[in-house]
Amino acid sequence: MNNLRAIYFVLLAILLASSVSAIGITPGGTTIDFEAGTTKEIDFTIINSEGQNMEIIILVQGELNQSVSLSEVSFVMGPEEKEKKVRATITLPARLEPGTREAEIVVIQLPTKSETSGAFVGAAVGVTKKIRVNVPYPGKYAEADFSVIGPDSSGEVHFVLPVISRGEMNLARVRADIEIYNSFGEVVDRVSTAQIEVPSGQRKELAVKWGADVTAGNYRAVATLVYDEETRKLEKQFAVGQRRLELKEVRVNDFSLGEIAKFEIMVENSWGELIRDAFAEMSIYGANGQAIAELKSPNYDLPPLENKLMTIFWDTAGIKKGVYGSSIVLNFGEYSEQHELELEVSDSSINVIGAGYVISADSSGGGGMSSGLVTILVTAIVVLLLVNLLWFIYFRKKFSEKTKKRN
Amino acid sequence: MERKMIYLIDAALLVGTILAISGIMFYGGGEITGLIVGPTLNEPSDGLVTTRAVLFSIENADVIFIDDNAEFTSPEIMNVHDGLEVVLEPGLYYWKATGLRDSEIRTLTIESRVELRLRETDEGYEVINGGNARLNVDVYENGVLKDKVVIDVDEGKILEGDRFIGGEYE
Repeated sequence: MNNLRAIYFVLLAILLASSVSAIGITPGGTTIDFEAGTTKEIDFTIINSEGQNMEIIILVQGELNQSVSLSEVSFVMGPEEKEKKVRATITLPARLEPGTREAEIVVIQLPTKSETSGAFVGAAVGVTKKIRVNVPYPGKYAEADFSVIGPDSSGEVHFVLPVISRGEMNLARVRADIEIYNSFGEVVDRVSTAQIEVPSGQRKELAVKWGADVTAGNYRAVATLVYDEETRKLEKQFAVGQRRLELKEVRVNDFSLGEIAKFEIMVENSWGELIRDAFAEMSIYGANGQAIAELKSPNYDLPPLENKLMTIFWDTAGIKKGVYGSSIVLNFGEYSEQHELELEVSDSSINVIGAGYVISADSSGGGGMSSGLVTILVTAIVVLLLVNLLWFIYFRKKFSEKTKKRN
Repeated sequence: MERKMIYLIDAALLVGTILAISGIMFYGGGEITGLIVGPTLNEPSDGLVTTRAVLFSIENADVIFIDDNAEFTSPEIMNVHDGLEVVLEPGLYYWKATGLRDSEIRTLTIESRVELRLRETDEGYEVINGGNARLNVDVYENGVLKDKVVIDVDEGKILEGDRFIGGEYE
């Protein structure tokens, strides 16, 4: 009896878990420009993605709700009806406050029974579509954003400022002057975009590339958008390079086999800011690949762009002469980078050999086919010219002979 | 005198040939202009409006540029290959292909699809964003707004409430 009850509950749980309710709407937003007293029709589609019986109601809310009417406000969609088009009609008043004014169409699927499982989904799910009306500001008004992209593969940072002219008047002269600050608040460089015109209601982009010939670190770009007689400041943080430690050298001085070896690990902070609590871990492996020593250095603070010597001690008592595999991991925060090495251990020295560093030349393809085709075309042109030349030499000779004969 | 005339004719013909070839190469119109084959844009068609990923089918091009402005000031650059499918956020895009020459500029529009899926679980309702845009979801209980949650595309969150209304994230 208890088993039957358990099976019943498991089945019920599966049925409940599989009960899905879904609704969609597209497009999720529509933006129109304000024109006093005009009427506009906006079509949208309600999606029955689960192919269910859906009882739908549609409401309009928001600031412009009185201006919007709908072709239908409630209906039922059957399983075969995957989508349904509905029309909203917006009648714009004679006057609206400048800026973006909104109405929101809310489409709600009322709680219903699932066709497949018969289970009841006891909650309502709904989606909204926003109708945005852009009302121009009196005079000149610039809406702007600021993006910093990169650095790209050639090390250039792209500063991009999309500008939308939201005023009644055109923006005749728009440009941006950008100052780049390092983490100490010092200006490291300045760039300016070209000057453009942005007609009323239109969107244009100001863009400029910056060489980023600076040390790796965090930077701040402050853009002053200058449009006609007005200015606006926008700023963005960005990083150049990676926050990382570079392994420069590993050496062991004054060593005797059986004593304690002192590994001196020279590490460079290639980031333009202090890196705190960095440390090195070293593993040394025996012939069978098993670690015979797991070692760790103390923690160090590394000033920006400076080298620091980290030390690790290895007790070589019982260690025989030979070549040992080894790895050094440099760590700080979430960062860790592993370097593979080999240790040549003799009676009086440990020679550290770097291994596993493969520096490959950049073999960016793209355009190989194009350059091949260009070569073929250039060859063809040269051949054509030669044929042309030979043909005219022949023609000229013939012409000369004819003239001589005539004379 | 005659020899001079022959030279002149020859020179004129040669210069004419060079100019003609240069003209064909750099100023010819159409997709295929003389010796230089320009990109052929098969898909997508100009002015495409969709809510889904866009499949590009292009011949004689190395890369495509996609940007939200016709000046291509901050383009996404992608290598052309068979079956290149690009997922874009909702918006209006301009695109062109480049090989030996630039193609024409076409537009495409990704319309936002706001879609919410609701799955009942033991812990509450799993609310899944099944559309192509990040969503703001208002959570109501007994007619009172209880919570506002942001759900990314294809993400699901377990929420408690009796009405879930999703709209484009702003």
